Amino acid sequence: MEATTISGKTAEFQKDFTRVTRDIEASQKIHRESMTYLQGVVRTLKRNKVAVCSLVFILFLILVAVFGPILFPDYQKTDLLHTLQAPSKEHLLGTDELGRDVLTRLIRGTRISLFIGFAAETINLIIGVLYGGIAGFIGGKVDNAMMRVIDVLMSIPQTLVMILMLTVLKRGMGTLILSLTVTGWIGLARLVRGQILAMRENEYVIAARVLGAGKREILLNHLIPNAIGPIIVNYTMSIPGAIGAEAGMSYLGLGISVPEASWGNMLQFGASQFPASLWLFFAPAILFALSMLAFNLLGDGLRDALDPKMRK
Amino acid sequence: MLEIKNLKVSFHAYSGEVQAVRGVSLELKSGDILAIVGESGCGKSVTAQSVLRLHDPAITDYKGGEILLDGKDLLKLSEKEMQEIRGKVISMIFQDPMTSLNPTMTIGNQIVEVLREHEKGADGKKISRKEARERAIELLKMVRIPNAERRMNEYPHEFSGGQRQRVMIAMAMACAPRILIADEPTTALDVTVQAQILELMKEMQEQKGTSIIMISHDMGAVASIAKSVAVMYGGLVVESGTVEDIFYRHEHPYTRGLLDSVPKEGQPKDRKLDSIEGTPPDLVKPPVGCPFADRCKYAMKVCKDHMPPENALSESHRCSCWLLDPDCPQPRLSLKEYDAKEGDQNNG
Amino acid sequence: MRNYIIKRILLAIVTIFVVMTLTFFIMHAIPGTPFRTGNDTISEESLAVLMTRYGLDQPLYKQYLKYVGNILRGDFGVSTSNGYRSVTEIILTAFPISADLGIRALIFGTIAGILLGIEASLHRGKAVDHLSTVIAIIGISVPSFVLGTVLQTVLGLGLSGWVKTVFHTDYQLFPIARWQSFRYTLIPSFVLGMGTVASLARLMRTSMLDVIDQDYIKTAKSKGISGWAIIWKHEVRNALMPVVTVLGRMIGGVVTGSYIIESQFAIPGLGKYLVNSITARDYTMTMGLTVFYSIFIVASMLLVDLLYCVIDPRVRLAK
Repeated sequence: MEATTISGKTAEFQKDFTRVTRDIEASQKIHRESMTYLQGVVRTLKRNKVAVCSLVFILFLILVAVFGPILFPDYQKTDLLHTLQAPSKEHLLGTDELGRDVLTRLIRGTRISLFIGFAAETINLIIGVLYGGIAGFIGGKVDNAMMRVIDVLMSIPQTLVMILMLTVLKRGMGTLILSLTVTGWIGLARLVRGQILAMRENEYVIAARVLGAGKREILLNHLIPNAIGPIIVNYTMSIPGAIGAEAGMSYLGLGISVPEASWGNMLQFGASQFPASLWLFFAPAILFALSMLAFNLLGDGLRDALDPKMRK
Repeated sequence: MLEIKNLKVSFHAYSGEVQAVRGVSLELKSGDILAIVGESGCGKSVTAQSVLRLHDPAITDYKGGEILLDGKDLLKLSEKEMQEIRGKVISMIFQDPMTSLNPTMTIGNQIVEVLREHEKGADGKKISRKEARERAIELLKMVRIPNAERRMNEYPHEFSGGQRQRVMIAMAMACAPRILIADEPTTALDVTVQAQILELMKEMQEQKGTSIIMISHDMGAVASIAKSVAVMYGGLVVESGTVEDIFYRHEHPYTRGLLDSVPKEGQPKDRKLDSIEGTPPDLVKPPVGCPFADRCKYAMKVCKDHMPPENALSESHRCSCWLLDPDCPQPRLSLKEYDAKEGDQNNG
Repeated sequence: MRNYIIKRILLAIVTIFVVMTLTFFIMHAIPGTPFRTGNDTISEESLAVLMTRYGLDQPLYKQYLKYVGNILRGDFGVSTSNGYRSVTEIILTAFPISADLGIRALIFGTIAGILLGIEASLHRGKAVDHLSTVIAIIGISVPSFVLGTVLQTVLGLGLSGWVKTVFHTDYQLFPIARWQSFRYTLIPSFVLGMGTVASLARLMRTSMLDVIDQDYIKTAKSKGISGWAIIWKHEVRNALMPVVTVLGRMIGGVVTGSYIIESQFAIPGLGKYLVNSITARDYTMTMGLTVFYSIFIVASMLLVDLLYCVIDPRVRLAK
């Protein structure tokens, strides 16, 4: 604003009155250079230190789950001469009531618990996306009927379903995962349906339809890519729920049973020994709490990054 | 009465600092209806809302300038002092009447609320609920809501868009403010309703002597109501003056562009409307020179490199454009022949 | 509006029937009889008598009709693990205690959760916000028996041990078991309410942030309404609407979540019976309680939905 002078005064710079051609391209270039949606998401996520730490921690857990039990396979080895030992050089996290090494069991438990979480939620993801996608895309009476089914299922609490199934069917990982998927997919199905219904009315989809895009094309090129963000967030946030549900079942003796190790049964046993053998409780409890935080905080970070309004 | 001097407002967005307003000066005289016009994103709403300091303080930075109400700088007031001005001295109506009213509160209560916040009874205490209700009914009648008594107890979704904007006006006028800021008050409404709302605003101005700042991009609405006009572009006022100055004696190519994009009466139907090609500048990295240079068909090198100075063309008329420089070889825009010649060249 | 209510009630009835039917067939998918489980030593003769007495020798559809008829009359069968007491009678004695615990937990959880959510949304990105996020995540995902154990040990045993050494009395401020006076209810209600605190805090925060961005908040501000009045009269009021819709599910969560707390704190509520029936493989009891819980939850969800119709003018007045 250095040149805010009233007409008549001379400015101190050389005024070059050569005509230049109008440069519409230049005026639009800045906007084209601006970040694409995905770049924005990645950039916002990278800036969110909490989310990055959470992601690193989760990746570390996955590595432990995959390779840990290969390196430390002796999670069932008992040593009745050294039971309930406090942490020491030989047993970094102490031993349990049968002299089993807590750290080795925790590593094994990480594999089991993460497997339950990922397996159950992946199944829920597939069912949910298919169910919600079909309902939302077909719409009309089919959608209506499919939603009534969801309304009924929604009223059945997951805890009760799990208790029932684990009481009646063979206890174990398979039943546990199955019981988590009976009603677990509903949230995602509703989300996907909602997204699709909202987007069907969206201008660019209408535009695509006017331009003659087929249903399949619209689904693949427009709807799925746009619905993917909320789906990822939902997936990330529901994994800790499934892991936590296994822990809750463990209290009833309906979770993964010993000698197999899971965070749930280690927590349950640790709690029963509290406060006499603190390491038995705190080792799984801290790892468990950190993992829950990591998944949720990553989910939060993803949601913020995916929502352009939240990017600040 | 209200004077904005060299106002600069920035927002902190994820892409960086958006310099939404980059040094705007405006003056609203008592009894005036000032229209601020421009494309979306030119900073007109930001300027208007800054008067009431409505922006989220967490992301807003008033980087400079003053907003003087009777010589008192509103930017320096405490939040508490500001509250006494909002709704009482200066009030505001917004673009979308569908979302501007609280959906879970009756219309009556929303008007009563503002009355009880500001109005004092004879005893110096705030007025009673009963009195506030009576006055609210009067206000609804004033903006011509039929069955006002009954409709007091209804919720916003039971009103039509135009009626809701009337309610907004009733609410804004409740404490007889000296200034009413209307941020695109007719944009979201049907054409037939638009005229009624503008008429109502004009009436308020005439009867109550309220000065009005109206934000709009609708030149038709501006022509029918405004007394003076400021044209904004890229966070700056590029031209300002009386409504006659702007409509008949404009000098800025952007003002010309805005006016050309409005269909005119008597114009042949097959004539294509002129639109301004290109997009407004990115205010994260605002251009050093004239913000309009990239889209301007008269652009010169100096426009790209240097901000044009403000030229006073008359007592009321101001314009910032290099075409007005005495050394500029191109003739002034108001010389119509030039434009005609230009048109021939383009066609030929 | 009326149609909606009718539809909603029909849906609740259908849901209860689906649950009843599923439970019945799952129950009958179990091999063997409910009378011969584990180490039971029941003779063939008494077994036959029991089978006839409870109609288990009849065809499945007849049993189903009888079962549905019984439930409709409020008869959930008998509990083998509780000396063949009627399940209904057990529910009638134990449920008030569970309901008492649940209501305390809900009151604590709702108030604390909503306040925490409001506080977090008003100080977005600040320490309070982060703290509430951590509380919320831990509260949602850490099973209540873990929190229960810690509080039971530290506040219950630890505190009373300290009181004993210092004041030489057996007074317990936070008793760790049973359900007798107000003191006994503190830790269990707190632990049970934590889940509600956590979910409501998050939901309220999101809902508040959503409302804060709405145009009508700007209108309220432009009217010169003071900060607190805007928060309470405009923001909180509107932000509560979506929160009310999940309260029904919250009630379900609290009711079904109480089993852990009840068995951990030796509270003679329904949850404790549920846990016992699972360990004792008392199927009639487990199924009976499941059906009862479902009916209760469906009914509370229905009530909350109807309540929502009343408080939200947009729904109430939709014709």
